[in-house]
Amino acid sequence: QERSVSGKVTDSDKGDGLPGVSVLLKGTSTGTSTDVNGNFTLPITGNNARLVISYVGYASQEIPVTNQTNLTIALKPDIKALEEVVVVGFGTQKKGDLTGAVGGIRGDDIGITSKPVSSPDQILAGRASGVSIANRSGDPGAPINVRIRGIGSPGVNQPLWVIDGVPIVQTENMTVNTGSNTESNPLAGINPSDIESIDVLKDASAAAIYGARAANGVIIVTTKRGKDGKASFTYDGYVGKGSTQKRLDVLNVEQYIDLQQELGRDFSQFRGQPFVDWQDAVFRTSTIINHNIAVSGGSPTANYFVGAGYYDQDGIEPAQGFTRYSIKANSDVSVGKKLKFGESLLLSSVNRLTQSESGSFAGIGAADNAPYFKIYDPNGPLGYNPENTTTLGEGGDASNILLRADTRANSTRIITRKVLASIYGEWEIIAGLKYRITGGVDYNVGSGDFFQEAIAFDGITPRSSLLVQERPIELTTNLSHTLTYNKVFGDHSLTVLVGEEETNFRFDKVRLQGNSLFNSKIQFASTGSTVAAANEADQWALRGFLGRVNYSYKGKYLFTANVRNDNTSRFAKGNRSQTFPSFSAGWRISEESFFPKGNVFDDLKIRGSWGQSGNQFTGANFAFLSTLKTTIFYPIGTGQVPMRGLAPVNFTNENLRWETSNQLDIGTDISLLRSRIEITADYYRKITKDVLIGLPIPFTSGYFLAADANVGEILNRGIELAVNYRNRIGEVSYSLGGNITTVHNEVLDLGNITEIITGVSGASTHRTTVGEPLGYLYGYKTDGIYQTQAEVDAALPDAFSSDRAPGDIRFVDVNKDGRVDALDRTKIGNPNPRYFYGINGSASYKGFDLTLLLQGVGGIEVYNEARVGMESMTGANNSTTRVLDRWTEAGSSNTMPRAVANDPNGNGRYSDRWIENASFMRIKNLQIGYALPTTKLQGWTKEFVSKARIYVAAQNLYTFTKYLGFDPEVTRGFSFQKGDIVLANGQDPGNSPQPRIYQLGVQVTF
Amino acid sequence: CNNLDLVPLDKLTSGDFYKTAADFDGAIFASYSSIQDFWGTSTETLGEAGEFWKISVVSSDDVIADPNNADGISRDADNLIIRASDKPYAAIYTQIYEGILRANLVLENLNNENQLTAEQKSRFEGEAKFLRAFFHFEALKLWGTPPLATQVKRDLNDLALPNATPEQLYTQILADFTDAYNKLPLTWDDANKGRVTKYAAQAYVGKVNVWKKDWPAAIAAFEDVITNGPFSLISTGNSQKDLDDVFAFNNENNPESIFEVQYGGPFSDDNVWVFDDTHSEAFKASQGTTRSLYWDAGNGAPGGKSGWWAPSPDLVAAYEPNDARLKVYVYQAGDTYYTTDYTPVPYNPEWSSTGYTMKKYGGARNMVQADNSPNQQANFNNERLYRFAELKLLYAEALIAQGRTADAAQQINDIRRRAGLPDLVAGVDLTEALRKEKRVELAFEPHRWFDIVRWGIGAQVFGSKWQDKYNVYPLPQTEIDRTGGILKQNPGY
Repeated sequence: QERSVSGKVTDSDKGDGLPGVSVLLKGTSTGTSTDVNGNFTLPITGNNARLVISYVGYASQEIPVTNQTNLTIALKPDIKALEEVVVVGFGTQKKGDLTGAVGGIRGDDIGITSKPVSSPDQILAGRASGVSIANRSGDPGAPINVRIRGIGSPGVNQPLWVIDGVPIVQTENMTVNTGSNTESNPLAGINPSDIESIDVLKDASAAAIYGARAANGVIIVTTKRGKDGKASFTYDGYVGKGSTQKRLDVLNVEQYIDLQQELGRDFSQFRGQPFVDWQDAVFRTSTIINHNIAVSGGSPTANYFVGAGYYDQDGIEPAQGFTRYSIKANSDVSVGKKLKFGESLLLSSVNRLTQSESGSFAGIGAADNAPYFKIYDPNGPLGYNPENTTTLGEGGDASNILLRADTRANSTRIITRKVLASIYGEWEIIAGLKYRITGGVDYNVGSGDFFQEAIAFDGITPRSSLLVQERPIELTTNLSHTLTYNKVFGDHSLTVLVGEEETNFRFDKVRLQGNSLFNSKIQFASTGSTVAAANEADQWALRGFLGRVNYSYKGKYLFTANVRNDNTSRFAKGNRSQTFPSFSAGWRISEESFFPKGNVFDDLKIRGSWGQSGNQFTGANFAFLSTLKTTIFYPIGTGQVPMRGLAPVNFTNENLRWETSNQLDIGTDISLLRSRIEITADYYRKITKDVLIGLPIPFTSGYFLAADANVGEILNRGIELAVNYRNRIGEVSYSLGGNITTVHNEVLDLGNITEIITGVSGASTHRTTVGEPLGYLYGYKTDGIYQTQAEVDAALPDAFSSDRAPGDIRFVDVNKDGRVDALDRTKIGNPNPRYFYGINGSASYKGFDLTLLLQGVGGIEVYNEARVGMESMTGANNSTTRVLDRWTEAGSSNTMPRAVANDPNGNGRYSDRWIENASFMRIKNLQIGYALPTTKLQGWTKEFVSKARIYVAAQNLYTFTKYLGFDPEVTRGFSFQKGDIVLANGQDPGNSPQPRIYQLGVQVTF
Repeated sequence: CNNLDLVPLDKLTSGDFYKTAADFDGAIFASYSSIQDFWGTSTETLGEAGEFWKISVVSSDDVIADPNNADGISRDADNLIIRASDKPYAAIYTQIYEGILRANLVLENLNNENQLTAEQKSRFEGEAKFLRAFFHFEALKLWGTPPLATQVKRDLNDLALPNATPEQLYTQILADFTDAYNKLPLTWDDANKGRVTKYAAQAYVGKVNVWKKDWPAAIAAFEDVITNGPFSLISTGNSQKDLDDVFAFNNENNPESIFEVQYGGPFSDDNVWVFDDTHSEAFKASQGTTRSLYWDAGNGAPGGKSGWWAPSPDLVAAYEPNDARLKVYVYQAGDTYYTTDYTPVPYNPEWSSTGYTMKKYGGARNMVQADNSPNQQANFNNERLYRFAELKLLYAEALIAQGRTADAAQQINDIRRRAGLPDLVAGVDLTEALRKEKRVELAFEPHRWFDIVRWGIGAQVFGSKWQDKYNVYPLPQTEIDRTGGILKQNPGY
């Protein structure tokens, strides 16, 4: 029986007809859209037909079609966005009631499960205004810098992550050895697929409830929980292939030998040898595999979510691998009407293989190998060509990266097993008054093994076998009690929260080292012919009392006040306690009677906040106490037995105290044209006082490690703007959004310190002074090249130069004192991005969907340290082809100097020659998917499968940049110091680039 | 509520220390330990590699840095490319002032409540003052006007120290060494052998006065040491064996030795890359130097060492025929070569860019397992910092300055005889003879550079490469930066 149904779709508020509304016969592809007056006609078959009416900005409706032929359907504006619940500290709020700056992303929005990311922080790249993400390396599992609204401190800048109520302590303890490239991302144990939502508390109003740990913002992660209804089982999975995006152009064999001839090295015996493409040999195609399964469901009184995940990613350089196994179980149970209990449990194991010291920076190490150096030799160690004077020539320079990274010769394996669990109980004492207790544990057991086999890289030098085994254990316990009272009196709505939170942290590590193992098949350091052991341990504790009042009048005038008093073990008794207040208010102008209803604005809110939050983390624990290191030795006596010596190695600063950040935020949330356009804009101004800094103090103090100190003030200000537009053309619905954040970073005060000069490994490459951004790049300025002897003769004296000739670089006498010396070093770049942005778009048509994400960083300069090695023309390593344009005679070049042995003029000194614009825009993700029609699918599978989607995607598809290195996403330089080195940031030692990944995936719900 | 009164788990707090004699032993050993790092490898934050060799001998005319194998700083130092930002200056500077702090902490705590007897107090005071003077003297030799640090500074806003004048430095150094002379024991028991002694202090009083050109004071001190001190030249008539005995790992702290940096192992971790006291790995590794790693032959020689530095042909030519020292100090064609693979082989001059390799502290006697770490990276032979042969030549220099030429010739001849050489011929230019003798006797010991600048013979030795600013090294640029300009750079850098 075939008939047709017609009708009109109207706006429920105004009664006007709505044009372009989608009307679909459920379970089929039959559909139409309304005309300019909101009318439609649709042929239908069957008796149980249902219409699905949907329109952007309105709540969808499903209408059963009985015998009517003329329907009137009134669609209600969709204000879901405002009703959306946002997780704030120790509670939730409706988005419409927020008075602070809170950004958030929901799991559904971002398709977390379909992105090839190994940790939850990576999801935020380009997605949330105010949040910038920079990977230290493309090595999967490497640390990631997350910065909310700039850098407020030269010390710790990572925001506080709170996962299902448990604040996470992020450390660099889970590693072996100390090279900064073996550090791991402490969040990598968390499976992104388990995440339901991420809320970012950016301003003090939102974050101050976390007091002493909130100065860098707070990121609240909520994992998936079961929903009331039928149980469902889902499978998500993909496979991907990763590869490098870029290679460096290097000299061929003849060009290399010619250049080395000019530098005084003779490799002429290798003329005519074939070019060995080391980059081709070292960069490889990696494989990424991800499987996730989950079962969830629930009833009105209980729900459950149980998931398991497997993620495996190889690096695109050798000896890089990352495997995570994870299990997640969340549940909530109501007992009677007054009691509720619940838990979140994560068990995971991250098994990481990373490059050992001898094989690290494999990509750049490959690029700068002597180009005739062969890879393999059947008679060499493990079948590789050894590095010696026969294979390389006298003074030749190459590393057989493939040998050095072969896990039979060398390996660094880091396993981190994590238990992250929280359990809560909630008791509704009387209506509106709830007591809640939450206990949380973050337990990390690490095992880091560095192994070196007795294999000689040069085929000659005996190396004994060596095994270093480190066993770090971290335990963070967290206990909180809160009492919440919620009451509505007529037009007044009030929520009051009081609580207490205690956190204890304890770290223990045992290190064993065995040399010359009995048999390296038995991987026990204790079997070495010499064995040494060492211990480390640390602890701290924090206690906070907190309170919050939310008040609103008629949902129009909104007011929030927070206060937290924190006490810490990290400072001396007199400096141990601090109170962090915050206040914020909002006005929903659109709720006022005078505000014109309907036409353009759906919602308009302006809000403002001010508050304080703190930071307690210093470089050394117990820096306020005078302590003595016990691991100093000196051999004395005829037996030459090392005697234990004791001495302080850290400067004692009894006055150490909190770093406090004061933040002002003025913002607006606007919803326009039936929620088609949503705008959030904020101006922020954050001043960090008593900044906790690792201050380089004079060596004559007897200490060469930095002293922990409170110094000066730092300003970060800027604007954040996020705009989202969604609409539909016919059956194509689409959205387009963007966000941009500007950061003006400026040191306002340094007390009586005039300058702080820093760098990795004791270098002087970065400087901090009042009026400038934190840790700017500080070196010589160049001014072309001396073209003639006359120019050389007329040149100013240069303290850094021992001898000069035409073809050498002219350095600038910045202070005009008639000579070039250390006083002429000046600001040559800023490694802190001045702005960053993201653009995202999506479109769907019937079952097809397309999403696009662009990520960009602008106004940033980076010290390309890797290029120094490849263009300074001093060593016997290979160079980039840019040196082919080197100066040879007057007028031949004004940028690339002459090649000369030993570089007597210091052309390679730290100068603006090595500073590059590292702005970039990256096609972060492009994805095209197809969802099988649900009805057909259920038919085919006898209702076994309810949803299925397949997709193809590309991650890091293309990067637009002028940067000359492998990847413009650069953080810290390599050294043996752990952690971030904020005051020496933006230095590229030749890190592994971010891989380009092509993937194919399926998502099925049963 | 949780406990907020936590204490460090892996460190002692100062309040629990500086009570017993054992505590003060530990505190003073920490000061000695800073000297070890002059020759150490890898201070975590600086990445150093035997820096003191580079600026005491590699920069001189005695040693050539291998143009291919040596690290950049060595090649620069060898080519007299000297820059304030170069690593050795910061590396040695930090170790010097670290050692001074540790000595000052001992001195300060001696006056606080403790369980020491008056005699122990006096002895620790002498030991700490010796070390403080030693460190300051090294700083004086390197930089001319380094700061004087006699107090433990605790105010974060008042840490920077200005340059001291040479006069201030000499006064303090001599006062400290003299005090040490008055308070130190003549010798130590076997369990404490290697700690500084009374006549070591007096020997330094003489040496400092030579630098100060106070010849009568120098002569008085040297004569006291020679007459009353326990030191003597190892001289039995068998030149080669005597010289071998001076540098043998199993003949450390011998009668010729006035002051040695103690190394010894393999008792601890074998990792030479974790040698400094501040490393985050929380242990101080192997108690050895990387002497053979850097000095033994590279370029395909067995043992696979780096071969960074090689004796210069000019130095080798300075030895007279039949000088026994050359055979003990230098490998050359025809020798048997010993390194840490412990298999003697004929020496091949192709292994070195100069055709020579340093043998001092090496050779058949020292290249045995007991003197080397199991991974063959570290050597445990003490560095002879000041030996009686040097004292005799310093004494001779002072005598020449005072016109006592016959006495001076006698001192030089003692050294020559031990080396199997005839006495100086009459009428020879004694100053030239002394300078040559000192060069060949003390080759590769950390003295040649300081003699060149003290004697003012830079232009004569290095020709047109020489600049007068090299008479003192640049103060580390990082320290100039850290003091906010309170410390002034030496002229020309």
